[in-house]
Amino acid sequence: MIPTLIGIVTITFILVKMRPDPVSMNAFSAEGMKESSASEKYMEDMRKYFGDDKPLYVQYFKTFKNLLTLDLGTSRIDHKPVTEKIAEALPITLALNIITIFIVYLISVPLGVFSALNDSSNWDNFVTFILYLLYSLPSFWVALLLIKYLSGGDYLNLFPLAGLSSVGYDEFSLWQKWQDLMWHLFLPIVVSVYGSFAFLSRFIKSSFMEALKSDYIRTAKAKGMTKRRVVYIHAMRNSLIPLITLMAGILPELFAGSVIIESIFSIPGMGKLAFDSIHSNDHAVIIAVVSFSSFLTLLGILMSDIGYTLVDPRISFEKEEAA
Amino acid sequence: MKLAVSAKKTSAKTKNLLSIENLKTGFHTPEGDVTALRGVSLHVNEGEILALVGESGSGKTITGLSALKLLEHPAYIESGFVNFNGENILEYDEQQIINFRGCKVSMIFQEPMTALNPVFTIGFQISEVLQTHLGMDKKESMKKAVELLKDVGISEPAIRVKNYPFQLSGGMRQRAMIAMALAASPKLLVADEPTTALDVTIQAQILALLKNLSRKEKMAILLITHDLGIVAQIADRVAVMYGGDIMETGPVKDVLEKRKHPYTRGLFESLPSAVVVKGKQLKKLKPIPGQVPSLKEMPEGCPFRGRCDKEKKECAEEIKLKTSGKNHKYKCIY
Ligand SMILES: Nc1ncnc2c1ncn2[C@@H]1O[C@H](COP(=O)(O)OP(=O)(O)OP(=O)(O)O)[C@@H](O)[C@H]1O
Ligand SMILES: [Mg+2]
Repeated sequence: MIPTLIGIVTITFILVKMRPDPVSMNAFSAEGMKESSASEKYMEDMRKYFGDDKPLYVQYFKTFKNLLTLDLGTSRIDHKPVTEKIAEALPITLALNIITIFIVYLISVPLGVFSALNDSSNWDNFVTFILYLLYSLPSFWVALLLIKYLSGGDYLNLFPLAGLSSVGYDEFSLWQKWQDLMWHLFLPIVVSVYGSFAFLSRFIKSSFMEALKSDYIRTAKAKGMTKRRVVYIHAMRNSLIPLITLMAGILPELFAGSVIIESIFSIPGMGKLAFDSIHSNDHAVIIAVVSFSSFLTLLGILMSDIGYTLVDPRISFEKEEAA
Repeated sequence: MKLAVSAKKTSAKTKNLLSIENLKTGFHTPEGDVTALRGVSLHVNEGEILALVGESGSGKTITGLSALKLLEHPAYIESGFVNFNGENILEYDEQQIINFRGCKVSMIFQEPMTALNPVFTIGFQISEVLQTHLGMDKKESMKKAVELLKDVGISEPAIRVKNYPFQLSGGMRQRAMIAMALAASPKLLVADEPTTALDVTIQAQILALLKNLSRKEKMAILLITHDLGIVAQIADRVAVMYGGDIMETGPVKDVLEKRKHPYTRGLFESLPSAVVVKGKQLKKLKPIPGQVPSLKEMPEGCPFRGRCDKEKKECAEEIKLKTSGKNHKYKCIY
């Protein structure tokens, strides 16, 4: 895990430093002409202020020192500490993604099981068709359509256009706050959820069908277990175990999806922060956001590994015996 | 279905526990339907061990599965009866079949490695049977599971009952399978090559265990195997199967000594264990030439005729069942 993180930070660092130096870039107008207001002296000062005047290797090690001490510098744009910006954005993105994962699993698992039990039936074909249709719709397009037709009032005004809270949020009661939040999050969640059904439910279908074909299922039938018991006890347990690992695989995708969704819906989370910081060439923020997202992804993988050992006796016991 | 008529006929014979009559089954395959069993008839009497022998692909497993109505898509049953205690189980509905499987008839399989569910403990898997068929509660059934494990010769049963299958050796798993199969004291056990996946010393132990249990519990066994050596050791009667049909059947002594059917002879001379059967030393191993044809290429008439050194024109026609001695029958023109 640690080497992976070092690698990610290194690559991000190289990519960021390959872009033009932000100070001089800002000093140029859109046409590429040097603006007169930015004197050489001012640019020197700014470089010094952000530490861009030091040799690259010094900046490189400083990046790690900053990450380790959680002192991530300040944003070039609004001069706020980066740590503070991340502390504000992270809970929002986490909440969005946790709700997303929860809903995706809640819907995909029954769908997958249903399809496995009714393999190649008309219903299965119908479900498959719909899921792949959803899968193939680009999320930015769906997001814009939803906004156009369901919010803003051009057609319907069911949902807010953007943001996370309504005016006067601070005076709301707790229940009102919760309602307001859900109201704002509804469309973003719909958009981040619908594309994942196909992948997950097809995965569950195939792993369930695999389980249904196995020898121990024949044994369970030969013992006189009821159909329900065979399916929901004997096959279920086995086919749900791989889902735990899968959760880790979905995480990076969700983080990537957050960039689009949060930007479109103006949700001040990590995705929007990443998008904005790349746009404004805000080095400190880019490095911090990328490092944090990858750290969380790796953490997710680690957690799913731990979850795996908790659920699958074969793995947990091997470790126990080895210890 | 018009199967009920014959079901009544067999119920008169009391000794007869399982009788399969003229069973024809097939498989739906992408290339069309193929016939797997071409009219199998066999019976198992109460408390006896019937060995079903034949090469790989001859249809033994399918026959065994049909005794529990376990054939499922893509397999289908074309015609025939599977009578247990005079009732045609092929006509059983969902509920009846659940009360039947694991209670009146149990089955154990070739691969003890995969036949047990990897994510449940041995105790859970045994107690399940007890709860379903004997109506025991959780505590009671766990206690009984320990006893059952002890009965099949597993040491430290109180610990093993809490183990998962992967923590047990192959031999122990097969014992656990047997314990599970016997939990509800069935009248018949279908054992599909129960020792093929085990090493030789364990094989002997498992066979001895099966034979003892059969005697003690008065339980009949339909023992599926491809090893005539095993047949000689523990079976009362034997049915030799080839190409989805029974070639020869009768008491073990008669069949192994007379070997009326050329296939039985071939099988006898081609198996290493035959070298020591009944102390008779064979000169040389003589494999049966050729291979079992695939279901699609199975010839009309005698299925063995393509590989038989005594093939004649008549072999292509339907072969009548001939009798040699009291219960010894075979299907060959000679
Ligand atoms: N699902 C299936 N689809 C098509 N053919 C099948 C299927 N399952 C089995 N068969 C065929 O049925 C025939 C009999 O199979 P069966 O498993 O009963 O043989 P067996 O005598 O038990 O052999 P073995 O000793 O290898 O277990 C074989 O030719 C096999 O290829
Ligand atoms: Mg078989």
